[in-house]
Amino acid sequence: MRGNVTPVLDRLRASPPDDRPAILVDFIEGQLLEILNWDESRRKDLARGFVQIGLDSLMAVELQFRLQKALKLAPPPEGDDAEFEMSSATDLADFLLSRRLNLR
Amino acid sequence: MGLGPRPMVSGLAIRDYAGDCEDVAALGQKVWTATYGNTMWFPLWDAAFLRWQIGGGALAPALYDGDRLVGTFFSLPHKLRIGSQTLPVGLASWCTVDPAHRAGRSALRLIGALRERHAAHGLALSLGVISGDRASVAHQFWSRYAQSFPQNLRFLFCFGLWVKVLDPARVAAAGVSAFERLGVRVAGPLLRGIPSRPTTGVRPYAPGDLPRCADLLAASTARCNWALQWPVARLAAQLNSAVSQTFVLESGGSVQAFVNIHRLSFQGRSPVRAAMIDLWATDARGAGSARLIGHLCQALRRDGVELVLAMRAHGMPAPALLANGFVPQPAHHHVVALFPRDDVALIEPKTWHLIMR
Repeated sequence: MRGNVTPVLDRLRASPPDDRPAILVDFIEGQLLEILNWDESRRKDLARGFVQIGLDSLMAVELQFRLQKALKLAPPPEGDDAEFEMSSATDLADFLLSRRLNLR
Repeated sequence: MGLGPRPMVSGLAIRDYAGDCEDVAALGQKVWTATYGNTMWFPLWDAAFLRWQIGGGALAPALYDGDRLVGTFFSLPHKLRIGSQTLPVGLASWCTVDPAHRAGRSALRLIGALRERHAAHGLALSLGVISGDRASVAHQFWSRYAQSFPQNLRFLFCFGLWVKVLDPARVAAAGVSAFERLGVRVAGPLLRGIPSRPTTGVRPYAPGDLPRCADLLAASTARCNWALQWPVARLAAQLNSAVSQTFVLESGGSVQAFVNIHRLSFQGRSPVRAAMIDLWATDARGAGSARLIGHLCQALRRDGVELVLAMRAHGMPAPALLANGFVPQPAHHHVVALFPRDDVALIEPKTWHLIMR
């Protein structure tokens, strides 16, 4: 696991609201680098968006699984897969903070 | 999320499949060979098989790049009796996406589209089969999907196969591991043998046998707590088609048993011509069942079939299969259920009668 060793959920809760998006984007990008097996130097490429970086369904469910564990998220209600409609780490972080974590 | 259209990668669209199934077969063979070639066995469904299955009103969301088919996930509506309750269900299979079009999370979109069609058609669930090979992309994907969306997908139980090798040299050559190749070669003479028995009373199925076969099957599946239901029209299409074949055992002017297979190819290191026993039902005892299975194997071998498989389902005639050299394989495949909504309560499948697609 890359980055800060303090659990990301603790860091989010302890941070001012304005800092939370950046913390979560950083965490999501770290997970993506692992899933894609990319090294840190390619982090900037992640800003191109999920389709452009080649995120397929297997990678997407792996990311979903890791986020559920790290953020202690319950499975989405009624099988809602709205996370998969997000197009970038920034969009996904914004969605999770506002819709799943109530931390906005 | 509603049931409305989802944003897609530019140029890609999901719509109901329309075609002659040649493109579905070509896509599956191309993608599965690229994904699993030389590493695990997988079925090579041809267009005739797919027309037989999909032509009967399948739910068939397909991913197109313009007019070109690049992804599929189909489900065949059936009725499944679970305990005393009969549910509309589907048999889901053929979840395939061209690797060049996977970046848009296409498989997830196809799953979403199939779940939407389930809901629209009132299906309670779709059953599917997933390889137990943990290194396979399918197993990795579906197990992670089930962990992330436990309301959408459940792993229900594992099952094994009965395997009869009719042509050890061809099957050994196709083996995906050295152990498998060596094992089939060494045991080949034993595996290929079919005890010589009189085939008195065994003959090909004729349409006039349909009512009696339906009765036998209903009686056979009544003992299971999970059993697909076979209305007469569906059973007729199953028992006799371009890719399926049935033999009956007749005694005293009455059909006492029948066995039904469909033909397909399996791909290991090379293709193997195979037959899958789908349905078996009998009220005969002892040697009659072994005679019928033996006759089936002889007929299939004469037709160039190299391998015969059957699900180790409740009601399959284990003594008759063993007597004809079938070998039981360990439970390696998973039956899973894909749900359109999360309020479906299921009793445990203790005794089951299903077909594998």
